[in-house]
Amino acid sequence: MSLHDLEDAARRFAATRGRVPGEFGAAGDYWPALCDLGAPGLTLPEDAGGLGLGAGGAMVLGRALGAQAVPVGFAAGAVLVPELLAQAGRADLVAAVQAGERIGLAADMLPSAPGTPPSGLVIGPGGATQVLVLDPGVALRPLSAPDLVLADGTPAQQSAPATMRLAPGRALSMALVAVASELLGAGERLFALTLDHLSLRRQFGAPLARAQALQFRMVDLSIALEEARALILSAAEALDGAAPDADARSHAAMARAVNAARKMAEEAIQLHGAIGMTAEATVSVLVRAVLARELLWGGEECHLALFRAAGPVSPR
Amino acid sequence: MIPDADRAFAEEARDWLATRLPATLAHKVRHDIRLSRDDLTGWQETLAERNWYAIGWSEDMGGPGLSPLRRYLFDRTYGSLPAPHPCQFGIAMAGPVIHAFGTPEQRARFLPRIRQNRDFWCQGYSEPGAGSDLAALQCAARREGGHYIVTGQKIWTTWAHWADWMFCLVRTAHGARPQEGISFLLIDMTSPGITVRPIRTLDGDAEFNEVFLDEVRVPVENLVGAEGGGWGIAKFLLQHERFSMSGAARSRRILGEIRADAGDRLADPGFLRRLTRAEVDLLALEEIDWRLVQGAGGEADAARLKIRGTEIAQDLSHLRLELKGRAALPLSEGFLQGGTAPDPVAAMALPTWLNLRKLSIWGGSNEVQRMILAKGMGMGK
Repeated sequence: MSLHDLEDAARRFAATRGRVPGEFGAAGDYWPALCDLGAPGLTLPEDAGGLGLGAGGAMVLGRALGAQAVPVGFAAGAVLVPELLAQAGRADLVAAVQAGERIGLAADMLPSAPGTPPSGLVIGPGGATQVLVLDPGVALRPLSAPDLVLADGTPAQQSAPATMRLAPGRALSMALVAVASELLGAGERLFALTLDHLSLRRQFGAPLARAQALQFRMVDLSIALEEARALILSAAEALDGAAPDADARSHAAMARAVNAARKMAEEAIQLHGAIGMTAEATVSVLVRAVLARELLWGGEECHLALFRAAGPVSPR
Repeated sequence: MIPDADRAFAEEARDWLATRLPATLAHKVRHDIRLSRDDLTGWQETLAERNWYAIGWSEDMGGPGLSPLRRYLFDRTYGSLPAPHPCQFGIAMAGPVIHAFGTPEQRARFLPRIRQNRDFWCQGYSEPGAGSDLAALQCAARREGGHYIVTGQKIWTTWAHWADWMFCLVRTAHGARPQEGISFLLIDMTSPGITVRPIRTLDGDAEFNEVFLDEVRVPVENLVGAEGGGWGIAKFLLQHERFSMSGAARSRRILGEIRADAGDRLADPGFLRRLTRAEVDLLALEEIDWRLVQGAGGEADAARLKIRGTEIAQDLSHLRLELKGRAALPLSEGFLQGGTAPDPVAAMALPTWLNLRKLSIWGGSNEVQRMILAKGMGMGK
């Protein structure tokens, strides 16, 4: 599958994410469909059982899923878990995940700011029956924890907090590229919705888009999103090229993507006026997805600190 | 600086309020759990015992007639407690309007009931086509004998589903400018032809509503001021109630709670810096508030307080979110309705962040407030 094919398939898949009826915040189960798409392990080399699409693939799929706010735990379940399993030489488990088996991951293993309380959350595919632990070697522990829903509709579970943190390296950086791409996709979609709204909504006898103050705000938001995109691309290239500064670049990408997406989320609501706050509005669904990623994967400050710790970025 | 007698007044008020505030209600407010209509009106009833529901009313209006200094001190004291913010639509809006522009009959009929917490009010202003540009409102009121017949739609009407009365800006005529031909009507929410539909927001709550009016008959006696004088009344309201503009006292309480909850996080220099910055921002807001106690404020002061007060409240809601991190993620609908949660502060952090996005949108959006300030400085002529 080429990146182009993946992009097409991803867009089609994401577009089928309809409104899930029922309780506010309850998610549908998108994991089987994500497996049909070939997503789990897509970043892994073909000889490790993957599609060989690397970080470039994670970016394409993440961006498409993010634009539709598909609540499916892609970065944790389909990127990070298979990468960790492959790293540990467990090709059998990679294949199992690709066949639909659900293996979750303790969110407390992910980067966060010092002093952040442990959450005990297990993320990845909803309804996971096993959780991946680093013991130090990779092991699977059974999980019989009640299902939860996160505020953006992504399924999760509650378990005992993990004390071990993921070491910097390919697996984590790959996942961060995936998350940053989801944030980028969401931010870009929010931008497009807001631009549309400003062109259509008339107050004081003219479309809102005529107001120069609003134009400049939108321009600044677009620049921030473009900066994020450039950094994500550079991180993806560094990862796929096994460059020594790949980890640093992935943190830089996250720092920018989180900042750009959250500013876009705040502005999207503000510029839509009250209508952006309604539960049904696409804006509000995307906003919750952005906030959930910031909280789950670390905010700007967290990744700036990790960028600093990851060492120098090599000039091109 | 502050005379002893005024200080004593504030201390006595604090003691009384703290004693009378039920622990269950304080818990709900402390954790942003949704209040029921009874929660709110029950507390307002308690305040009304001391005539403190209408805390800003002059003696002329039947209120406690507090000096600006005592009003300021009461506000600061009240905000420090996890007590519900009382419904302001009657007390701070319909009431002062009826007092300033109403007939003696209207004053006698409505003011005591507002002051004594008998009637729950809501505000019928915004329409789908008239948000920031409120003058573009189209809700029509045509005169037929002793009634206005009102047809139209209001939206974002807070607590319309709880209200007994609505004060409403309606269009009684089409003038050269849209501001002409707007009138201020008091509408009984039990009138035939009114349909209220709650609007679900992204935090899961439904405090806002659509209000549909279909040939609603409103007695002419319910017109406040002159027909066509509604816009002037709306402008009066914008600058009248500057005391509730800043929200500084509530933000002071929230900041204290964040600091108390922070624990190990205070060792994170980034978090500490942001917390400290919020503290200085809040100090500036409090000082601007304090300056206004000394002298009369105007439209510009109200606008400044609204802008900075809402921004600070939103910043604090993000700080709290940062503090809780992932623990804030699970959606706990049950908790928001009054259940238990392992970490109540974490359970409400994200819904509150989402809910408080409304602060910069309502009450005259922060963009509109900036327009007022810019115009006041002579820009854009």
